[in-house]
Amino acid sequence: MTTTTDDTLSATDVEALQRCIDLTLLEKDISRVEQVQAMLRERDWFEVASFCSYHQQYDALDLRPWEHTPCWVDADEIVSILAQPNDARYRAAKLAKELLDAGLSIYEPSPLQALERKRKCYP
Amino acid sequence: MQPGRRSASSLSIVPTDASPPPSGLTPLGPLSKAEHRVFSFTVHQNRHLRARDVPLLELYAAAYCRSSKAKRGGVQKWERETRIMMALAVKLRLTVQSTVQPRTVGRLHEQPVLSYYERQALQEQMDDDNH
Repeated sequence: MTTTTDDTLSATDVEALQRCIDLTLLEKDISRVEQVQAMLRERDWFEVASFCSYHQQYDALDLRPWEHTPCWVDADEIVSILAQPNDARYRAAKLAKELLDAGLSIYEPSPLQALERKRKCYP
Repeated sequence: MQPGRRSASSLSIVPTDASPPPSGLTPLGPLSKAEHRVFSFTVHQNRHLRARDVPLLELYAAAYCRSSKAKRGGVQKWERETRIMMALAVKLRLTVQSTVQPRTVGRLHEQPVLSYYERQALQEQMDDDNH
């Protein structure tokens, strides 16, 4: 999981993380909504937001349980991970780098849609 | 307490509040970084888990890590560790068999969904074959 703390988050990260919370709270799955509502009452905002980001990205990318989400990749480790294609985090790091290169956050709830939107705006 | 000499990784204990798991459940005692990760992941994937399950969940996280390490050792040790992990997984209802009706599993196999990473890998393989 990323080691980023809310002290080092950019405005883009904060906006993406808040969107992850909002989207999760709008889900039809009542148990998930109640889980996040309880977490918001009891836990640190960043912890809840990164949980929601993992959840959103996991669903958006149809990931397998053993696959990493981009939000789990530490931005400082991307270069070293990409140098090792056998690293379990390789694909996640690749996608995280694409997001960062496009000026997006690694916490984007739907990374592929966000990249697509960016490409349409700035072809 | 596990018997015998402790490994270097098991000594690298991360305080619970340093990186709390992304869930409503918190481990009771200190876990290693790897165990903490298994704990968080299991809680995220299994929403039926409650606070009362935390003690068993901690044991499961430890058992998973021990089983993973035992892969590099002898088969007998790995089998022993895996049996413990499986017993805990079944008790916590984490396995497919203990959560899903066989018919539902059958239907799932009929419609495999590739993850984005798998689609990417497939695409790269096809590109390589074409060149």
